[in-house]
Amino acid sequence: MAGYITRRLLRGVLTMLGVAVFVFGLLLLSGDPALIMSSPDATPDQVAQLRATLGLDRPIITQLGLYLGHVLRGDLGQSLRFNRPVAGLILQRLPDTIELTLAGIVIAIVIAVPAGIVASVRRGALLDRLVMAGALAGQAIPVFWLGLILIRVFAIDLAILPVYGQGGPAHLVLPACTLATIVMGRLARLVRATMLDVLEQDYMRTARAEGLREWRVLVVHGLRNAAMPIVTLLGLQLAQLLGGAVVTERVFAWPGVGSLVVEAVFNRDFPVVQGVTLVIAGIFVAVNLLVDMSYALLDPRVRQ
Amino acid sequence: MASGLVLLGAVLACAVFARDLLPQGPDRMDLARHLAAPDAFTTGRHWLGTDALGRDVLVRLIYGARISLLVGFVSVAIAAPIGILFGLVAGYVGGAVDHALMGMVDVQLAIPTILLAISVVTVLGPGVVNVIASLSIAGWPTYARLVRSETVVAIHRDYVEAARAVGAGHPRIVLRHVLPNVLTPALVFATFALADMIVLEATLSFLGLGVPARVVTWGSMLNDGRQYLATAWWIGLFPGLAIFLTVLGINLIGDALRDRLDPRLRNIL
Repeated sequence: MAGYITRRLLRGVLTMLGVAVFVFGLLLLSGDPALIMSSPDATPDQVAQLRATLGLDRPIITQLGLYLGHVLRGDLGQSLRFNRPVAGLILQRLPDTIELTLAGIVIAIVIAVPAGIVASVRRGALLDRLVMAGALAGQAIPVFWLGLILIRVFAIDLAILPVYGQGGPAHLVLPACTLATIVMGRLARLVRATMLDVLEQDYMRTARAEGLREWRVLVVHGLRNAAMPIVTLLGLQLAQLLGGAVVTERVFAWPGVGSLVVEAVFNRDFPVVQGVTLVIAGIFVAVNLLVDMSYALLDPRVRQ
Repeated sequence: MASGLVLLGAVLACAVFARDLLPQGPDRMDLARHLAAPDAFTTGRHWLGTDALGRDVLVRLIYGARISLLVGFVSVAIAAPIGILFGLVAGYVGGAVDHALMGMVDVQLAIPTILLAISVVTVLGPGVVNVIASLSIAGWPTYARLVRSETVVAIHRDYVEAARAVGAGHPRIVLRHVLPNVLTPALVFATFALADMIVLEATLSFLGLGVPARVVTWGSMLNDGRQYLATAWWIGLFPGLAIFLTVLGINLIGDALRDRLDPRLRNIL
């Protein structure tokens, strides 16, 4: 068990090191930060002086070492636009992105899991076909378009939900529903496929023979055994959800890191773009590490 | 499969014959009729309405298909061979090479595709070629991971052992015996990836980070439509519908291909 966790941890650390090197490479390619930070009328000497102050005149390998050292200390550089530490800017916005992403996951689970179970139990029936058609449509719908449609219908025509921004649970409904569609279709299809396997197992017949109620058989015996693929999918889809949050936040003017990164692109504020990339990748790696470790705890076969 | 082919075929026909069908181009303005509502069932002058500059939404939609499909197909055509090559090498050679290549894949897959594409396009700058480059860079790792796992299975099959026993060299084993067995899953994945690339291009254009504003794309049309959500819904509705139907068509083809060619992939794709 300890060996498995150590190996998995090491792989996570190496992945994050790779992400940091990749991000550093992009920073190098993005141009001369000293030139971007200098005022338009700065002399070449002043730019050179700033370059030296920032350590940009040193060999690339030294710069990489310094960058990694700073990242380890939580220093993601300085925003060119706000002239503030990138880490502070991200920390300020990150809770809103996590709130939106978690709400999206909860909505996806609440809708897709029962839909998948119902579809598996009523295999081949009209209800099954409807759920599968809905899942297929959900996988094809562009998230930003759905967001605009929801704004038009629920915020403008019906005027029952706020259009933009953040201010309470009502503000969360439309962006969270929009984000949830990213995984909802795939999740419903996976739950259905997994439950179809589980429904044929002997322990399901035994549970029924013991006289347990059908919902109890499905939820306690069926869903529990179908849980691992579902958790795996959610872990792997987290990157897409966090990516979807970038677009969703833009549509709904939600003040998370997604909005921050798009604003940063327009302002050519590369340290912020790369800082957000690093933090989002870190969240993905950490969550998948936890998912893998939970397997090791739940299923001894994984440890081997 | 049939409905998917019909949907994709219709979009392809629009893209290929746009210039022949509508030689006036997507930028012709009719300022007197700007923000005109769809009139397909009345006068029939602008079936899907016009935008703020009086440009016909249907004409722009048809021309927009060209960029969406071009970017989608070319990105897949670049990302797929790179991913297949890396996956084959990692799976066949194994050991440190496998660890190194799969480590690169892990690194890229840890970054959300759209964020990766945004980062790359920020560095390269906007433009059709740069968007294709950024999507190709973002797209290859999943092929590599899929092909690597298929290769690991294939190299332990009897026919590979037999080829090795009769003295076949590594290139021959890989090209003649392993590659044909990993191409089917790669082809199925490429179909789904085409849909993903079309959505990614539209997302970049919607965010204003894709192709230049003068080039009409479905994503940029949607971005324009966002400003007129309350007053001129048609500007944003139809490009989104076009993306939705195209992606739906491709996914239907992908589902059918997967079920016919390799049903095992149902648990992966």
